Amino acid sequence: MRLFKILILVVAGIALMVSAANARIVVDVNRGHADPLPIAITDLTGSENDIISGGSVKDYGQRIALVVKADLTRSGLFRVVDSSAYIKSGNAQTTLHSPNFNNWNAIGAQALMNGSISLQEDGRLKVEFRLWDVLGANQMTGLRYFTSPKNWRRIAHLISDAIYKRLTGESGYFDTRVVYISESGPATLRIKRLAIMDQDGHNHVFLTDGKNLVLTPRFSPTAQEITYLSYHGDNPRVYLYNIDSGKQEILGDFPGMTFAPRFSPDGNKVIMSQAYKGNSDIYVMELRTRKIQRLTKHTAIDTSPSYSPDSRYVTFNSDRGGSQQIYVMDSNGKNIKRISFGKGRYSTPVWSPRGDLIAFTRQYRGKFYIGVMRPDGSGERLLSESYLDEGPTWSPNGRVIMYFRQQPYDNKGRGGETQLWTVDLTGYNERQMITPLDASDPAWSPLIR
Amino acid sequence: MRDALIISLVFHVVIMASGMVAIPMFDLDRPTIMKVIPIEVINIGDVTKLRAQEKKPDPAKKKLKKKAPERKVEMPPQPPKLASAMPLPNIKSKPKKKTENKKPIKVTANRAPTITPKTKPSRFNSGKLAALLDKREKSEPSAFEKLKDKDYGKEKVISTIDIQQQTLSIIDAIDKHIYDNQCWNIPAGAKGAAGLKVIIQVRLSPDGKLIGSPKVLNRERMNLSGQEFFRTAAESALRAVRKCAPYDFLPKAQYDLWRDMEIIFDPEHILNG
Repeated sequence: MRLFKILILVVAGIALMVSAANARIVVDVNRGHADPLPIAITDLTGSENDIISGGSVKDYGQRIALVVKADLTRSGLFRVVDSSAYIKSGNAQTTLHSPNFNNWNAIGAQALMNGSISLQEDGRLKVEFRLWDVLGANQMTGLRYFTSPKNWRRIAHLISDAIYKRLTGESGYFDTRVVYISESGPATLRIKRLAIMDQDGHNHVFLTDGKNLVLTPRFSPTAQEITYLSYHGDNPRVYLYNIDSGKQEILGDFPGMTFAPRFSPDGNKVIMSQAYKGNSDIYVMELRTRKIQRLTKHTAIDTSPSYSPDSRYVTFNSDRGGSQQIYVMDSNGKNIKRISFGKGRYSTPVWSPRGDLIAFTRQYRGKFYIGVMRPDGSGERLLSESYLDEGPTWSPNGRVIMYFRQQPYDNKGRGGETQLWTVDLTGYNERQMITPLDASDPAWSPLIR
Repeated sequence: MRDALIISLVFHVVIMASGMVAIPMFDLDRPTIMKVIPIEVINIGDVTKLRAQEKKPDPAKKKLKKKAPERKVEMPPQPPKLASAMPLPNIKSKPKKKTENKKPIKVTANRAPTITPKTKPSRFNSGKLAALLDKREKSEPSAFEKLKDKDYGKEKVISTIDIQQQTLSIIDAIDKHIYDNQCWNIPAGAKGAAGLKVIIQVRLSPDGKLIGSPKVLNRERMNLSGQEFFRTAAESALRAVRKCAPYDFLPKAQYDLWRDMEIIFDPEHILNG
């Protein structure tokens, strides 16, 4: 019995010790800031004496750092700490493998990228970088790349992607390209050409000669193919364009007019609208077999279809309810549900590659908006507003939307330029893409592999 | 029976004691492995042979090139929206607030009779006016200042102050410190960001410095695949705790209360509210 008492006492004592050890203040922090993360990017250290075409290895190290800085800054999630601050704090000669974290902390950097670049005997560049957590004083990631010097821009984008992924938890979108319609000439005689460029506007190339009108280019999820609409003669047709081979082919021979093509997430199908005898409905075509399946059958105009990333659903717009609104259906055409109920007209729904949102264009009271809503229609947010915003396309990580904006015309008929813009999901980081000519209808590629 | 009870007792004590020592060990930071992963990058040209079909219409190209620089000049470098999104001006307004705050606190501090008589009679009229104008600040007294006051007059006051109140003041002070110094960057825009609640365990020295590394308590999601967002959120919370150190404004007299803390970083109210 006595032993039993002792046992109880001991257990009670231990319980008391445990609870005493856990007795601590609990602070609930539910206010915060959405500021960009301050990051320091140092030039990659390299030899001045190794000369390759276009400069020394050291020059390439500086150029790569500049591109990484530009990428990260443009994302809106990072603030590159002013490089003059490095020198002030005596950090110009950074030790690559053990940075002085206190110095970096002192100039406000919370993350640090450093690295080196050197020339291999086979003429390739070896580029190496490390990402450091300044406050935690440890390495977060480190990668090494081997490549020919002419690929230095891609290496910079790959480094940006790696940093972005490590610090945000999401894959990046810097090693990607954008295809769009380049426009020139007067409004009555507009020349429209298919063009492609890196997501930062570099490496710009025209893909078609402008003889035939091209519209609505869309990237295949496999990156090497584009589908678009082109007029040959008076007939608009959906075309496939292979970037590797430069080969173009007409996608099927439909009795009516086909438009608004878009790839399925696996790249094996193209979903589009077909207008036949004055009625538009949605069709899907298997690319290998060229088998066509009709998904909607309604007297209203059904158009702009877009698959969900799991291919189970399709969103599209239709005026079957009286005004143009967004609908979602199963990918076999069943269970059609309307999801947009706001005032005005909704069009061009595009399902995010992340699956959680649908981007759209909304027209209301003479203004155009690019917005997002959840696939059930809840949580609508408008991200941009202007005289004319249209044609949203998602970055492959579902974090940024690119669209085109037309400037209003003034009294003398001037203006009306079209430009490409990007905005991120917070709606704050709205930026213009610089293109050589007017630009419309952008389509973002997946990550280049 | 008796032996069995003793053996059972001894084993139970050993298991519980070893549990108390060993379980926290799981939380210890492992040394970082310093390695780089080599990646072979192939020529972009091999993957995608881009064909520039645009060689014939040279005159058109030239026209375009002329146009291009004009547009670049016209473009606003950044939309004004971006500027307004940055809550940087807060920094300037902060010092003002603090100095102004001191007055109302002295006036309203209900447990500092030695201070109140000094300020009240000396500026009767203007003080009243100022008090009317400063209503907003009054209703939001700085817990930070409160604590400092407490610390100065601790010998007189400490017995009358309820422990609970002290705890609340400390909690308010830490919350305010983290907010005012912009230590915590919420993981906005991440998928399911609102659900990324992170609990950090912190141990502080009497002068408010961090002892050891702050630890993520709900780290079970940390290394799961598909939970990269949680790792990001956890790292952002850890950065916040480290950036805001030292917490030297906390009253030394109540060190026992704040030596061990749990700080919960919960973006739900911000992103959904």
